Parts: sequence; C-alpha cells; structure tokens
Amino acid sequence: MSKQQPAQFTNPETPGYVGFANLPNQVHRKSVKKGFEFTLMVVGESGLGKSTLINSLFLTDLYPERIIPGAAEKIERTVQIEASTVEIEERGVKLRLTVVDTPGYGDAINCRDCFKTIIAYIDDQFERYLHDESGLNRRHIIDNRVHCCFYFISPFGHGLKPLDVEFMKAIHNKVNIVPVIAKADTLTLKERERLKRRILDEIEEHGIKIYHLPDAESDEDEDFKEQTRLLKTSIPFCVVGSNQLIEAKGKKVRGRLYPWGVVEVENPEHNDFLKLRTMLITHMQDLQEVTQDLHYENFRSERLKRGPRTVEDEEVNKDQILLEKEAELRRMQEMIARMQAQMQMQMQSGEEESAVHGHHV
Amino acid sequence: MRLISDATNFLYISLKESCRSLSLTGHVGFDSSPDQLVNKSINQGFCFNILCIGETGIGKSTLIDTLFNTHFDDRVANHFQPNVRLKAQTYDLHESNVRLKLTIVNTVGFGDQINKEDSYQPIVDYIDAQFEAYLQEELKIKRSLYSYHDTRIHVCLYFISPTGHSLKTLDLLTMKNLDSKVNIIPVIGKADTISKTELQKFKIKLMSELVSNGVQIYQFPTDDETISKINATMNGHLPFAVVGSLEEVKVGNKMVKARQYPWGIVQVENEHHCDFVKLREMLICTNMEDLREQTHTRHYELYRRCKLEEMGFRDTGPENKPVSVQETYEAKRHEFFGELQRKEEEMRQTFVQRVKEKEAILKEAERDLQAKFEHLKRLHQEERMKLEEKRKLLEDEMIVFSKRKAATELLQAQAFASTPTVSLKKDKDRKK
Repeated sequence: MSKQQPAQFTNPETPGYVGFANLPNQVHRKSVKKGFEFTLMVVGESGLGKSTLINSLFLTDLYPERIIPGAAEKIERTVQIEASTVEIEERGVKLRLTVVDTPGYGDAINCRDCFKTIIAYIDDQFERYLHDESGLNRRHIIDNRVHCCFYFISPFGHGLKPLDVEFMKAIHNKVNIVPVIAKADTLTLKERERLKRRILDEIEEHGIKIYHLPDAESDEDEDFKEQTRLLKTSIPFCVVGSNQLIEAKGKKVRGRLYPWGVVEVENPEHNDFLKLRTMLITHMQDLQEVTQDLHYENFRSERLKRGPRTVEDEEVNKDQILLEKEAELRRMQEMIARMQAQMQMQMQSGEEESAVHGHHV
Repeated sequence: MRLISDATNFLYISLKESCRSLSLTGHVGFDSSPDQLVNKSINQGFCFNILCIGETGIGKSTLIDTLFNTHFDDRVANHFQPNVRLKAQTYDLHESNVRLKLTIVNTVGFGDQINKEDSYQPIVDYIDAQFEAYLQEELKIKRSLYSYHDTRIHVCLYFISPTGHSLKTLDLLTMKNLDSKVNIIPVIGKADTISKTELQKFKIKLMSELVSNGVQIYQFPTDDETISKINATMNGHLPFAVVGSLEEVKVGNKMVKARQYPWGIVQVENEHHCDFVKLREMLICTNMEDLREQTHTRHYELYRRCKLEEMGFRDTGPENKPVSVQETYEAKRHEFFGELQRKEEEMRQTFVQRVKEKEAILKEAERDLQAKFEHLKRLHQEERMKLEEKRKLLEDEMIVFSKRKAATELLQAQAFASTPTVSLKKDKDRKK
C-alpha cells in the first residue's frame, strides 16, 4: 500500500485502514504528469468572431499573422482544415490544446460541398485512432479525435439558416456540437432570449442532437447543481470575445470600447462568456468521454461492420486458396509420376536400343 | 420676294450667333419660374421608390421604419425560403404640404440559400421590368406620362453584414450586376457591433474592394455649390454604418429612438453613435431629387438604348446620316413589307408550279385510261367477230344437218313402203 502521507484522507491510526482512499491523489498525480489533450473544432462563416473568441477563451493569440481574403478571392474558395496545436500550462497542469479551424466555410457562392472536407477530417481522425488502437504497439496513441465542435450561429439573422441545419445534421453523430452565438453585443437582452428560444426550437424541429450537459450528481453540493442548471438553461451561449484591456469603472477589464459604453467580456450580465468557459473547463473530461463512449464507438461499430467483410473474405479466400493449392499439388504430383513413368519407359527403351545398338556395336 | 429672303437670312444669322446677355433695368418677374415649378410639383405629388437588398434579419425593415418614422410592415421572414423574391409595398405619406408616394421593395430570402449563384437574378429582372413598363408607356400612341405611376427604382440601399472583415462574395456579385441599372448606396446594417477603430478599417476595406472590383456606387453630386461641400464630405463617409430602432428610451430628459443594452444606450440619431442622421440627410433631405433624375437620365436611358438597339433601331443610317426614329420605323416597315411581298410571290409561284405538275400528272393518267379503254374496245370487237364467225359456222352446220335429216327421212319413207313389217321394226329399232 502507499507509504505517502494521505493529505485529507483517513487517519492511518483508525482501525481497518487500508489506504486506497489515496487513489484519487494518485490519479491526480499521474494525470498531471501525463498532461491533458483536447481537440476543439470551430466552424462558422467568416466574420462571426471565431478567432477572437478562441483567443479570449485561452488567453493567447492563436492566429498571429492572419491574412483575411477579400470577397473576390472567396468566390470559389474551398474549405480548408487548419489545425494548430499549443501547449498551455497552468499551475503545473499541462494542456495540449488543438484548435481545428475551418476557413472558407460558407464563403463560396455555392456552399453545397462546404462540409465534405470537415466530415472527412473528423472521420480520418477516428480512423487513425481505430488503427492505432487495433495495432500491435499501443504505447503512444495520440488522441487527435475532435472532442468538441463550436458551431457559430450568426447573431444578425432570425435563427438557423439552411446551411447551419444541414451541417449540424451531418455531424451530430460524429462530434459533440456546442452552438455558440458570438458578437452578442448586437443583441439586446430581449432579442437575445428570443433568438436563443428560436434556435432551440429549430434544433428540436430538425432533430439535431447537440451536446447536453450531464445533470449534476445527487451527491454534489448545491452550488455545483445550481451552476449546472444555469449552464443548461443558457445554451446556446451568447458571447462576446476580446483580449483588449479597457479601463472601466476604475479597473482594467477585457472588453470592447464603444462610444456608448464598454462591453465587458467577463461580466455575466453582459454576455455568457464566463458560462461558456466554465462549461468547457468543467466538462472537458465529459466531452472527451462522450466522444470516446458514444461517437467513437458508433464510428467503430459502423466501420467494423463494413470492415470485417474484408477480413472474412480473406479467410474464406484462404480456405479456397488452400484447397486450390492442394489440388494443384496433387495434379503436380500426378504429372511428376507420369513423367517419371515416361522417363523410365524411355530409359528402358533407350537401354534396349542401346543394348541393341550396343549389340550391334 | 427679296425682302422676305433677306428677313429669313437675318433670322438664320442671329440664331447661329451666340446669344447676347442683356441686363435688366427693372424687375420683370420671371424669377418666380422655379416657384411655379415647385408649386406644380407639390400639387402633383412626389414619387420615390426604394429597393432594399440584404440578408434576412440584417435590419432592412427596421431602418426604413426609422427613416420615415412610421411602422410599415410587421411580418418577420424566416431563413428557409427556397429562392429570392421581391416584395413591394406602396404608401402615401404626408409632411407639411408635400405628398409622397413611397414604394418600398424588399428582398425576401436573400442570402439564405446554400447555392446563391442565381440570387441576384430576380432583382435584376424586377428592375428591368419597371424600366420596361415605363418604356412601353413612353412608346404608346395615346400616352399619359403625366399621371403615370413611376415604379422605377430610384435608389438601392445595399445592406452589408457587419463582419468587420470585407464584403461577402454574394455582395460583390450582386452589386456588380446592379451598378449599371440602379443607384447603389451601400450601408452597413446593425453597426452597433463594430467599435470605432474597427469601423474605420472596415469602411476603408469595403471601399477599396468596391473600387478594385469596378463596382460603381452612387456618388452624391458635387456640382451644385450650395450642397457640394456637404456632399463631398458625405461621400467620404460611405458606406454609412446605420442602426435602426423605433423604440424610445429616456436619455437625459427626453425620449429618443435608441437601443438599450446593459452596458449603454445606442442612440439612433446621435452622430457619434452611428451614421443614421447622415443617411437621412443625404437620402431624403438633400439628394432625393437628384436620385430620381439620375435614374431617369442615366440608368433608364441606358436601358432604353439597349432595348431599342436590340429591336434594330439605329440613330445613324447606312451613310452615316442621322436618321430619326420615324425614318427608321418607316424603313423597317418598308423592309418588312417588301419581305412580305417577296414571300407572297414565292408562294404564288410554288402554287402555280404545283398546279401545273398536278395537271400534267392528271393528263397523263387520262391518256393512260383512254389507251386502256381503246384496247379493251378492240379486244371486245375481236371477240364479237369471232363469235359471229362461230355463229355462222353453227348455222351452216344446222342447215346441213337439217338437209341431211330431210334426206334420210325421205329414204326411210321409201324403204318403209317396200317392206312394211321389217321396216317398222327397223324404225322402232332406229327410233330406239
């Protein structure tokens, strides 16, 4: 058993002490050592505030030298996948964050094939993981599967657009969708509520499966339960992103400066940024689990249903090949026997001849 | 005779020379001509047609409501329209003693479809249809342009989405197809989401994109000294970043049109907050008449020219002499008439040809029949003759036979007379 001093666990003096109450500590230590991996995909039309939000969430600058193309270049633009990985550390805990960006989504005049690239990417990550998992050497499996997808809905419209609906329906069985409304400083509180309700209605109407926060366990404390409840009612999140520090009410806050006021990013009355961040952080593990247990398993079973036919075919073929090979062997043997017989006869006749010849000679 | 020709010569000379300007020694009164015009047009009433193009939800209806301080239409469109439609509504407005017949045309479903290649076409078709209607009225023989309700679009407010980056592909495509047909004034809708610095950059980017892609937007006229200065300034503020609202919020001690946020209040008519006032100034107060004039003299004339050229009318004839529409029309009529004649002649000739051919065939047939008839008749005759011959032969034979019969009967009678019983038997035998 562990010889460590247990931090806040049972007193070693208590009778019947075994010590496995220390396990959480061990898990904690190991996970800190191992580090965490998380892949976040952001999808949405250009100009909806994706990059700003990502930068605000992780308090870094993920896109230092970005060139935004003009309208003429965007007409025939295809969707690209750009994955950038950063390692961020906080209090000794390392997070390997991969942000998968999809520039070009919704830009072209005809967006019919907009999301094929994206779906291919998601499937590809699953495929790779499946391959690694079924391989012989399973020590260093890198998990690049997309754990969460932030789908950005335009705050300037009245709800979901046809492209939004089609895209979400195409990926809701492959990845956890979290709908986000960025640039929420264009909506008054009333408009915000109306838009959220409209979007939720439309999501239900079209049968789109978005990520649902798990209910708090009954043994969690009240605060946590309240927080979870609040989070659940705020989906989709209306956020404002910014990394600029503005002076407001005597202190420096992150926000956007307007002639009529300052929108504070971290003010819960102004927007749902804090809620989104809380959700992402507290449920990062859950997002990964759902990806593993639900989406990956779905993919795997689909794949293997298709897949084993090739394996079985091979086996069947093997039997056939064996049979054929055996038949060929037999034929060969017969041929050899025949040839041997012929040769013997020839030899005999040859001997006779030579004998005759010999006699002659 | 000579006097009259002198007089006409004099007239010609004075017309060819430039007019002399004279100074007046007193007040004549023709300086009231503009007033008369104004009075007349006030009595007639004004007519203005606005076309609003923009994505669903970008704020078109709200802006128009705010501009004209009236609540026009309530219904909110959804995003699932299968194609782009235009919705036009006409209203009669009244301000002071001026009557305005305002027509607002809105796009429904613009920018919502997944495939937006044909999104601009319904708009182009609509604008052309209005031009066509006017052209038809103009070309009528009995026309009433005075009381004609002009539905040509005088201005197009193009709403750009406030992404802060650049134009969208759909915007570029649509504006390129419309800039030669209508006066375009680009505006940035829902502009309260862009901060001041971002707005500067955005406007510069938009204008440079429009210029580099050759899109001609409407420039406020700078030829009239009274308004050229302000118009020039305004031209530098394009595209206008607008915010619309009919809701009133208390600011200070009065109620203003504004949008209330937790972090502040965006006042629609505050020039520091947005360009709404500038738009209203430019669109309604200062340049409405110029917009109408531009539509008529530039866009409509271009349409008319293209349409008439399509129909084959030219301004100059084959020897480069100016030709009036009348002459062209006459020439065309002549041409068509000649064409008609030729065709008729052709048809007549073919007809005659056919008739001849048919006649020939029929004659041929007749001859054949005749020949056959003759042939048959001959055959018939021959048969008859043959039959006659045969009959004669038969008659001859009958005569011979009857003679022989008579002879044998005579012989028999003689023989009977000599040997009665034997001959009876012989008769009986013979009779048998």
